[in-house]
Amino acid sequence: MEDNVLLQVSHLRTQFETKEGIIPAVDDISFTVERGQVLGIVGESGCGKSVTSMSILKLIEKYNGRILAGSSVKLEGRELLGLSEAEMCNIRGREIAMIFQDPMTSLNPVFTIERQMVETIVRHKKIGRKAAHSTAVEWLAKVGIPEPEKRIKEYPHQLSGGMRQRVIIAIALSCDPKLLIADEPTTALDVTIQAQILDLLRKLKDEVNAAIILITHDMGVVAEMADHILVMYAGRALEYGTKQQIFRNPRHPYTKGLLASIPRMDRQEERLFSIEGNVPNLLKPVEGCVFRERCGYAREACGSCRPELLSLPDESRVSCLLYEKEAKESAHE
Amino acid sequence: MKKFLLKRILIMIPVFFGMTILIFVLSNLTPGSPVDAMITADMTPADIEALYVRMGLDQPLHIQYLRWLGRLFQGSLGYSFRTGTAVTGVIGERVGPTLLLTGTALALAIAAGVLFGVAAACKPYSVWDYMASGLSFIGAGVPTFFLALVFIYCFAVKLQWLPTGGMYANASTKDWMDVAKHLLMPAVLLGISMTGGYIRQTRSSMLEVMGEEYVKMARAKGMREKVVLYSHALRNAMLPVATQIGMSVPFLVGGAVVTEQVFGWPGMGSLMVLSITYRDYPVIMGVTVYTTCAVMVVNLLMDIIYALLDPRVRN
Repeated sequence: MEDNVLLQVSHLRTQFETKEGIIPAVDDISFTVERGQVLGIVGESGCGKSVTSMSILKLIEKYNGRILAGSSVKLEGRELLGLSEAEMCNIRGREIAMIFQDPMTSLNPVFTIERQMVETIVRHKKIGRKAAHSTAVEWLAKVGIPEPEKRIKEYPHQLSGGMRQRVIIAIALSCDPKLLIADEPTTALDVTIQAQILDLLRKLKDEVNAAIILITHDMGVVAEMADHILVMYAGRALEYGTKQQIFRNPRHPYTKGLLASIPRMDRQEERLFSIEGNVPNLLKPVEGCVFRERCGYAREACGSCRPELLSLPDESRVSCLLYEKEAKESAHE
Repeated sequence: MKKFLLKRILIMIPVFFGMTILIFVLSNLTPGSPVDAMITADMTPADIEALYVRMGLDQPLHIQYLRWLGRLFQGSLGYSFRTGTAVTGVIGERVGPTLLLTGTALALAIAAGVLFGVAAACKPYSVWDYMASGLSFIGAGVPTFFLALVFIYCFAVKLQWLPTGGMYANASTKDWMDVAKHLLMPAVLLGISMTGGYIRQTRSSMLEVMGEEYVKMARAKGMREKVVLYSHALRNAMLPVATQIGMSVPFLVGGAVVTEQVFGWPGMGSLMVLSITYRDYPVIMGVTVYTTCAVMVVNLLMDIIYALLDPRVRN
């Protein structure tokens, strides 16, 4: 079982220091990703999903963030947070690759597709430019780009959004990474293209046997892709479980609210369901549960004591006082 | 790219004719005539009339224009009213010194601008950043003639490292080391006056580009920081800088009037000032025609460079 763990993130805390104060963008997040599995991280905008992925790659310092001491990110048992910048450069793109949200801005507009693919392959695989070129063409064919030999000579502005996202996927997978972080890979695309891209990701994941961390705010996308799901809110993990557990038996009031907000075609509703209130301002330290102000089940205790991520009998985890009793029972067993 | 070039060159033809008309009309609209500058105390009104006829100034304006244009296409810009020598010759001997001065200054300004700009952007609020800001404020804020006088006082008068002006110590030897010595001060000064803008532009566009998604992606691909900065970011950041350089080059091919004047540099700028004082129309028009053509060629070159830098403008 332990051998199967590819990535282990524990007690990850990332902060941004701004003029107004410290923003704890990621506050004590722990999760594991197993080989070949898909972990979906869901949550609304600004909940720390992207900061989590940038922290795993240790790119957050470039954007004025800071990973706090006590955080740990282990890839196959190797601690990444202690590595030097040069060592991290060998991990990025090679062991952990990333796909970004907006294909329109993620490719460098002044370089050809070829240059952007070849530089990555040459950098990590230590092969010549010619060999790298044929690898690149192969990958363009694999991601479904017609006439790859011709297309590879083109510039990003000559390709459509869907095509560009395919190119980005090809770049990410061309060095056979063990883990692929896809940060909202379909958000900027048309619905029809979204489905194609998801299909492609699923197909290629098995081919290179990579695990995926799929970051999204689209519950439909996680339902289709993920094996496990982590629900984030205001920088904290609220619930973690398998897809079945989360969708069939959501525990946390926030998860329940999220699922209830999905519009349903089989019901005529006057108004779509929404969770009342707004995300808390992270500049002010939150005592107790971050969700309590919007939570229908909030009690007095929720305001004073921060709920831990409790392990439940079915191996799912939830950060809510409602489940304290259930969790204690499972610990006693 | 071929189509782009052809279109670009064809556009230059009407622009050229438009410019010749403008130049001709404008220089004829200036009050006073070249004859005024030639009148001496012992001339009779008939002598003055004869001068008008000899110079073709009695003809209607459009005839004067067509005659001038016809001569232009034969490669003649007329004769200087002041010296009586061919305008092409007068301009010819000034082009070299001007291009030497402004070319050197431009190269210095671009090098300093990009170096300081990138250093300032990579380490904001560092010593480099403050040095870059200081240099750009001096360049933009202090008038060239004042800075030139300060330089001459320090390096020529007090320290006696460099000559105060001119291009040669002895015009007959044409020793390159000597020219370089004379060139150093005016070129550095002219460079300083231009580099401020380049520094600010490079710094701000570097900072902007470094926040772009493709820079994030280049880092996530495992590219080393040097490659990210100097290949991915700088190439994009240079686009607005190239535009700015392109806009300042036209001012340079026509000569740097103030700098040339202060240092007695025998270039186009000082020729222009001299000709205007003497109402030497053929030379004024000749210099303007030359400058117009040079600007058109430079603009064409800049557009080609821009198309090479940015694939998006090619089609």
